[in-house]
Amino acid sequence: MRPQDLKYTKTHEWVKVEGDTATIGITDFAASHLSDLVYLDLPEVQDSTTAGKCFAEIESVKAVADIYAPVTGEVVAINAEAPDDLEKISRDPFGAGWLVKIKLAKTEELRDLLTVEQYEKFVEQESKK
Amino acid sequence: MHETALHDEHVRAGARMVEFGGWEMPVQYTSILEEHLAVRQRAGMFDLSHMGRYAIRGAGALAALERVCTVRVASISPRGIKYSLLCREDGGILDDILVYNGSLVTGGTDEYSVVVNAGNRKRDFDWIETACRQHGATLVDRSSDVSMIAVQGAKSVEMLERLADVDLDALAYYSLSPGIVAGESMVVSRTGYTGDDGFEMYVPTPAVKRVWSRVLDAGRPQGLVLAGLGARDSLRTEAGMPLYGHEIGLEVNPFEARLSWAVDLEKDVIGRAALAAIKERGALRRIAGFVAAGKRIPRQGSAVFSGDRRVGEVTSGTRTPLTDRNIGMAMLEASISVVGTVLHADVRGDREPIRIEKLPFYSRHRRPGAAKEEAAARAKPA
Repeated sequence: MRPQDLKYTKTHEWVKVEGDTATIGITDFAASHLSDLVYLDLPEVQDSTTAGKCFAEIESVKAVADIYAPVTGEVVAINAEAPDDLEKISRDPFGAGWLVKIKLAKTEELRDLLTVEQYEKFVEQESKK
Repeated sequence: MHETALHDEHVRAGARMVEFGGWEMPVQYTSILEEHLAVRQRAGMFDLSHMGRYAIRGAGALAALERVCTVRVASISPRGIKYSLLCREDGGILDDILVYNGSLVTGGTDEYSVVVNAGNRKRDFDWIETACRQHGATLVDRSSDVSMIAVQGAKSVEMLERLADVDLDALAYYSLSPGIVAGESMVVSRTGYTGDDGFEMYVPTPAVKRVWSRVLDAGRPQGLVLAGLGARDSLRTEAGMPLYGHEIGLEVNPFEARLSWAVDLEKDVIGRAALAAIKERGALRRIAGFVAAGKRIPRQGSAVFSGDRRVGEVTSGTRTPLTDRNIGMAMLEASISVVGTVLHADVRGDREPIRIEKLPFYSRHRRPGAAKEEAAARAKPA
């Protein structure tokens, strides 16, 4: 059920690459694990991101979580509706709940991301913990 | 980590399990906000078997309890219940507990019982046992033999009374009765920690799975849901009730926590001298309720500022689904702790405005006009 054409991270972000731009969101696993979302803080357009560094914050009734940039680059678009309509993220994390688009600075970083099979194996292990 | 007798039921129901006070407990089955609303509008069922349940027996039982409890235990009528604190000599709060004039096994009045917080079980046991030894009483741990389930919410009476051989509607608030519910003998008390009407059921552990599933099956058509510790926490915060480790603890005295109503100083309780001195001097800081203006929830540990001056910190914070506001409690300098005052909480580096509001945020016994007042207050910027 998770999209086959996306790349994933162990911190539960997804990446969709189109040309030199990557669309980023959080996975269904992250959205359901957080549940009851109350707040989302996104970067601004033109902000730069560094792979592995926190670039956004999401908060639920129970907890606050950092969202990590899967790739290095520059933010070229944000989903401005998402912070006011967090349901988008819980209901459609891979679609309407996307967060930002990043212009890739280091395409070689994409090699470090997980395939859907690798991510699913990782989530399975996480759930057993 | 400890598990309650209902552990596998929680996992099967799809609960997310977390550690709480040394126990693996369900934090939520579906969504905290949904479970919270279900209790306010219908009813929710909670497993509370992680809490400590002790019996105090013998000729010196009353004397031992009077020594450790801040309320007058002698004034608890047979099958009655009172909220009490356990305080140290310096007036710091060891725990908050319920004291039952009756047995959690039989409902008989041949013994007293106490129900204590999960995280304080061992310490409370040792503390009360010391008093028992000094006064010729025996403390018995009933926690494994007797499990504990709560059914809380607006419709809890109608849901449970059909399953009971006793008139639960007639059971007075803060009193207990033995009875048969869902086919099993147990002790039921009209108590809870959500601010709504409801019951806590003390069920012999071998029968608790049967009771759990029978009550759930019978209540589901009327909207009964399973509710976890997440909803329990947001419900009690909305009801302005303290939680050990948040509003109360060893470094907090009852006057600071606004619990002076649970302190009787006309008796020889541990901590009496210190408590009398604090009462005379007046509390220097106090728990207050607040509403946050922003979208982020100020959480425990957030510093609270008046201008540039630090005046206290947040003890609990959550979202109330009733009004979709971020609410909480904070321990603040007493002079600042005035309804309507606007302060700022440090929310992960940003100063967010909070306004002091009257506790509780929710009461099932509403004052006339309370809803209108709240609506008017919300219309004003905090």
